[in-house]
Amino acid sequence: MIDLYPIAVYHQALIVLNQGTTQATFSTNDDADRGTSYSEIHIQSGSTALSESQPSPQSMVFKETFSSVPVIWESDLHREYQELGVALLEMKSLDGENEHQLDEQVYLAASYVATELRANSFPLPSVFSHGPKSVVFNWSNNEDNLYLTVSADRMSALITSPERIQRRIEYPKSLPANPETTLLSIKSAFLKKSVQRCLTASASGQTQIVS
Amino acid sequence: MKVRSVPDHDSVFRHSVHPVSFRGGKVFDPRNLFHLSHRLDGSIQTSLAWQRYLPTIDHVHDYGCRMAHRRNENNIAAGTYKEKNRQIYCGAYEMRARSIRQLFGSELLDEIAKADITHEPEEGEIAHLNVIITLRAGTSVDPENTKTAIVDRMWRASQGPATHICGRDQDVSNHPGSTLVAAPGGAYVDSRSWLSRLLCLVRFRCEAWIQRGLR
Repeated sequence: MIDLYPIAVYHQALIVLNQGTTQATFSTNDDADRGTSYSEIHIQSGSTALSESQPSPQSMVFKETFSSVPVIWESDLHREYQELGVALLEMKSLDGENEHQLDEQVYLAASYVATELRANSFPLPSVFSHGPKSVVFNWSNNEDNLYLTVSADRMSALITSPERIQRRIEYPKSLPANPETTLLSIKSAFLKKSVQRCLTASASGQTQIVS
Repeated sequence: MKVRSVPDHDSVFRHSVHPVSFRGGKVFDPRNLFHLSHRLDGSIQTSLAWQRYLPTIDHVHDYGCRMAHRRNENNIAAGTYKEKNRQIYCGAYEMRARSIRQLFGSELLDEIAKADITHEPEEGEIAHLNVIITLRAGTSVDPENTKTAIVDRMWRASQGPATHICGRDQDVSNHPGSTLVAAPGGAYVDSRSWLSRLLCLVRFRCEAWIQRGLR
């Protein structure tokens, strides 16, 4: 059965620090009774503007998190996605005889999706194509994979494990009107499957599902 | 020559041939080596090579080198050759023929009506195999998504790479073969016994001698 609509939405913490952030420190505390962990993150905001006032540190507490919360500088994310943009342009610019050359419409759709992925702080994907008609973005989480296949007029998501295909989701358009919700639901579905595999496969570490 | 069926347990190879500009790295995915295309009847196709007619790893690499050379020669003849897009053979990945046939009946791949691998010599290459995946009539599933699922299954069933630098490519600096990614199935290992390898080689030479005699 192929899912057409997401049936559950989960939130995954991802900290993206802008260029104004100068310092971040982390501490993790375990609540053994509840079997959960929470992290305290102290971020000192800076500013490039001239100012006589000292910036005040801000603390954010995530009550329940994955045991590791990815942290990435926004500038790094921007630079990495520039590499992706160059790669897509190279694929579009291949000779017409080359089997990997992208159609113009597919290139535009893929670029649009890549822009939304970056805006929603997705980690940089790897990319491949099936030829001129589609581009595939790929992420790995342990042994599981998430693929986004982007054609000129539609998009689909695929979650797989070494043993089997876990889930397939298809969208009638390259991105629905609310891309943020769609992309977050895809990411959550992917991470939920990976966490379930961790929990059922072994009991190593404290990996919790964000509620 | 007699066209044979490919036993499930036989090894087949996918050769990695890239433009020299595709040096792998962070962005380009190794699954790019599986190029699935559409036939006129809507089925999905790709090519592999049969170990039966490539009895040693040297034969496997020679096949890849000939493939890359043929593509470059075709581009030169068509006037479209550019050095930056020169085709480079980098290495080969191995899988079992049954990995292809098992696509039919795989969970969440209901749109696949048939998945087969057939021996079809092509461009003078007797080891050439055609993989044909037939989709059910009237399926509404995006065939590009089906291709992605097939590529995922093939990649997960692969072992390797067995890397190689062709004689013609000795002058290539930063050979793309150095960036080939290890397949999920582990390193390439020729699991045949020495006797089995010897028999394969003898059989191959006999069949090649017979073919030359028939021409």
